Amino acid sequence: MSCIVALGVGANYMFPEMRVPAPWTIFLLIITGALCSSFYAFTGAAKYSSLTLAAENHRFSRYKEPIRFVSDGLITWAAVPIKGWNFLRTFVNSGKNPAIAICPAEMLEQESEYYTIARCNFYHLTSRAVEVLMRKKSFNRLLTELGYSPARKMEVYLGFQSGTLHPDATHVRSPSDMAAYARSLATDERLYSQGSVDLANQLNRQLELWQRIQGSETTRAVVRHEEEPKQQ
Amino acid sequence: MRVINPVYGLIGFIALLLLITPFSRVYQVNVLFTISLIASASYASGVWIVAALRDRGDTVIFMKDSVRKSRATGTISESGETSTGRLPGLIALPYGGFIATAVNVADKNLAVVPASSIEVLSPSTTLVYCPTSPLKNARELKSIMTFFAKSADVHGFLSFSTDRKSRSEVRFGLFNGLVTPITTENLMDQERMINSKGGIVDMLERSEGGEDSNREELQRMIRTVKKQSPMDRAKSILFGSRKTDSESDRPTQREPQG
Repeated sequence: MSCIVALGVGANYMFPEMRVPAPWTIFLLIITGALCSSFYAFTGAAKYSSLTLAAENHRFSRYKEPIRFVSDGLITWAAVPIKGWNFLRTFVNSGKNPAIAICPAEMLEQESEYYTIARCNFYHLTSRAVEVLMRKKSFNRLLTELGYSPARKMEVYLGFQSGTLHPDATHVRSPSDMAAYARSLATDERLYSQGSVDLANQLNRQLELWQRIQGSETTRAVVRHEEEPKQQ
Repeated sequence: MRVINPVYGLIGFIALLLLITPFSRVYQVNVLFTISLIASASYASGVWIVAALRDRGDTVIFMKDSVRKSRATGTISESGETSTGRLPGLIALPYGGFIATAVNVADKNLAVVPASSIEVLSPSTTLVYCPTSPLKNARELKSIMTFFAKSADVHGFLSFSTDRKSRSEVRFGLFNGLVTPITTENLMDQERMINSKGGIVDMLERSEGGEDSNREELQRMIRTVKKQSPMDRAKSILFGSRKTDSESDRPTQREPQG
């Protein structure tokens, strides 16, 4: 950015002042376009750099807020605040999450708080659907705690219908014997080392031969013989 | 209460400006100032737009490393495994590129991980449950997994390169977090193996090149004695070094900048 400013200042001194007649609306249109593209780019970059909730049909950015759990008597549900962002590189964040994703807690998976996985499909609930959901006291309390109110309606997503939930036994294969791998690499090392040493010896022999050729009387005579006609 | 989409408001504002343009007052505008304004805005949006496009496209999440990367293509090659084998089937998973509407950047990085540690959560999200170790440079992959390095190096859809000055990143892992808990000892073993075998690449290249590598060695020695003329240097800067057909067809590692 500083380079662009410096170029602008330099150009101001170097080039003659040029002015073109233009309506003020055109100028405003240019500024609007510039602001819109910057806004789109900034929000996109902010979402990419934020905590993420990845599901089977959606991927949401998150501002760092704790996940709430609630039981309706049958199953435990997890409520993940979503759609906020936290752009560390620019030192700014959204401050809150404007939406909530609710799914069965058993379908939620976390290795770290940065990337949360929901093994389900999320569906957007209409205001009417949220009202129906809030008839249950546990959900009413949960959504109220997360900031949902008739005056300030938030987007709510409900997750169910998993297509990727499977037992871990599926993965029980894939051995990883590090010693076997190290042995394999040691064989590589030995073979390549031998090849490399052979070539280095060959190069040394060639260099020795070249030195001998250069140093011999015959070579000097040939060189003199070739140079003499050129001088004539 | 019906919420109006802000995009409609913006479209309305632009339409209004266009409508009143023929009747609005004309001012003398400084050309340089206008150009610098556009350049500043382009730069500001340009530095973020690539990340924004990455967010829109396909993603690979390294769950054990808490790292998210964009990707443009799928896996390029895979090795199998048997019930009696002691090594896992490995997979070469390129990442770092993206595909968006009208713009795409080829993958320039490569992850080599156990095939069964990969799960496809959705068509746009792939999960990797393997702790990966970023190699110091892409060339080092030739030491520890030569086949995948060579395969990716010449792949027409990737800009991955194992050259000395390559900007490619390589992540390598051998453990599958879905099968067994990965202990500190496991990770230390993995790192020890990677760190100790980095030197193989020099011997490999020497051995692979055969007599040619000796010639290159001689040329390198000569270059250190004989200095390049300013004209030759200018030519190499302007026209670059010669490339083979397959090299010149491959996508560049550079990304579009604003």
